[in-house]
Amino acid sequence: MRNIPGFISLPLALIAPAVIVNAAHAEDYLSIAQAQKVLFPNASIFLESAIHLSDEQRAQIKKIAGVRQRNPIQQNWRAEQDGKLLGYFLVDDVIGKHEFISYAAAISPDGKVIGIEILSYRETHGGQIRKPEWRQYFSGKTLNDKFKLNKDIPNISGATLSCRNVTDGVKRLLAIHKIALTQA
Amino acid sequence: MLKRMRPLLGTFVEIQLVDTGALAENQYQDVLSGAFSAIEQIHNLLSFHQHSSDLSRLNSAQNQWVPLHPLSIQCLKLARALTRISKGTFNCTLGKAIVDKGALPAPDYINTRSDWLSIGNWDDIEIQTQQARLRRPVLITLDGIAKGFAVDIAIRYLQHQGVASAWINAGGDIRVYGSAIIPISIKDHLGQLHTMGGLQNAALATSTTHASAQYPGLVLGNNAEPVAAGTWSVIANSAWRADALTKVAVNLAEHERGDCLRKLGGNWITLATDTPSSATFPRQQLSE
Repeated sequence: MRNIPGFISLPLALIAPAVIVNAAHAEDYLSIAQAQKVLFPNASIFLESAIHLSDEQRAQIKKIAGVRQRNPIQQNWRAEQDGKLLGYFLVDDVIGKHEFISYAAAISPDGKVIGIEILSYRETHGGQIRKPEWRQYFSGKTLNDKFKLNKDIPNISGATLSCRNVTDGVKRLLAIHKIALTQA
Repeated sequence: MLKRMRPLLGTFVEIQLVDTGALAENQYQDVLSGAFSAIEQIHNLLSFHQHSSDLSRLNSAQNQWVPLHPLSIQCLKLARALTRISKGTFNCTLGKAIVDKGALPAPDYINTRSDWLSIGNWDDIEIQTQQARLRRPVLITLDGIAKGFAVDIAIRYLQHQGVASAWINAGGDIRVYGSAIIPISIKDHLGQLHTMGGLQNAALATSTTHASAQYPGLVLGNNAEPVAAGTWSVIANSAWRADALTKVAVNLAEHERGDCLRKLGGNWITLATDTPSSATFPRQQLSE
């Protein structure tokens, strides 16, 4: 065994077995309630509703955002402070080649992005993610559930991941806001 | 939860408060949000892509003095100084060469003249207290340094807020301070993970280069041509330095790399070829 200059050797328990790291990098950040509070700290209430998008609306979204809206139902919350609309809180998933990301976006009444928070991030092999049972496993989880894997996941330097998936997703949410969320 | 992630700087930025120090519990999320805002501010000031950024205003106003934000001045000074003392092995004036390679989009002002230099020198940039100007038609790009710089600014913010220990990982540009020791793996250009050990009170950056047609080389060599595929990791005191020195590492021959980087304040890290499987390492302090 040799030392790597600049690094402190870690007890074995802190070094994640390579096989786990390679299988999936899974991380949970915020629950929906926590993200609501972070993105709309002044809101006194979040009113939940679901938008049912028609085929026509989904086609419009594709046209505006340049990305396909797969899900016909879009869950969203109106963030209000003493009856005044502060904006909309939307939760969305994006599936990339190697990752599955849940994120929340806060959009102002006039359609500007107030903020984006990643709720959970799962890195995986490309093939794994398309298996429905795999997706179900995660969708059944509440975001407060902890994955045991997390503890030993190292920070990874190199091969910078692009956040393009999420920024494309946000474009889609802005399009949804434009065509389906009416301003109060 | 004291760890959050946002999409910023074109990648995912992760921040964790390890020891909240002087903070009250109801401040945790605000302080995390403040650190993300600090990074977002640097992104907005120094983005090559954004038309309204300080950097775009400087690039498009060739030969004229452009008033800049103090943080833009600070980063520009660091980039200029490193371009000078690294003898161009780090070079922040090769924006045109990178645009030509397709790794950065051509800005709309590029058509205002036809005599752009694909690569320039450190003294093409003139900096005063609150303004800067470009003496020759070069395009400045701070891609090689600004991500690390943003991490440093956010770390400074956390320290000022009284957070005793925290780390930030901005797409592989990592800095940690205080008591926290964070386990590190480096992903090389082939996608292979290398377990490196723990990082404490230091910054680490990694640049990977590809030689395929699809990835026209995010790091250009001295001759403004993409370099061969490789993975280059550097440890330094600050993230801007680690970030920028990975580009220096790319441009140096292996026999001079370690010495040159040390003179510039960095430690070149060779990747571990074997995964540590026991805890028999003697405990080692950082050299910085």
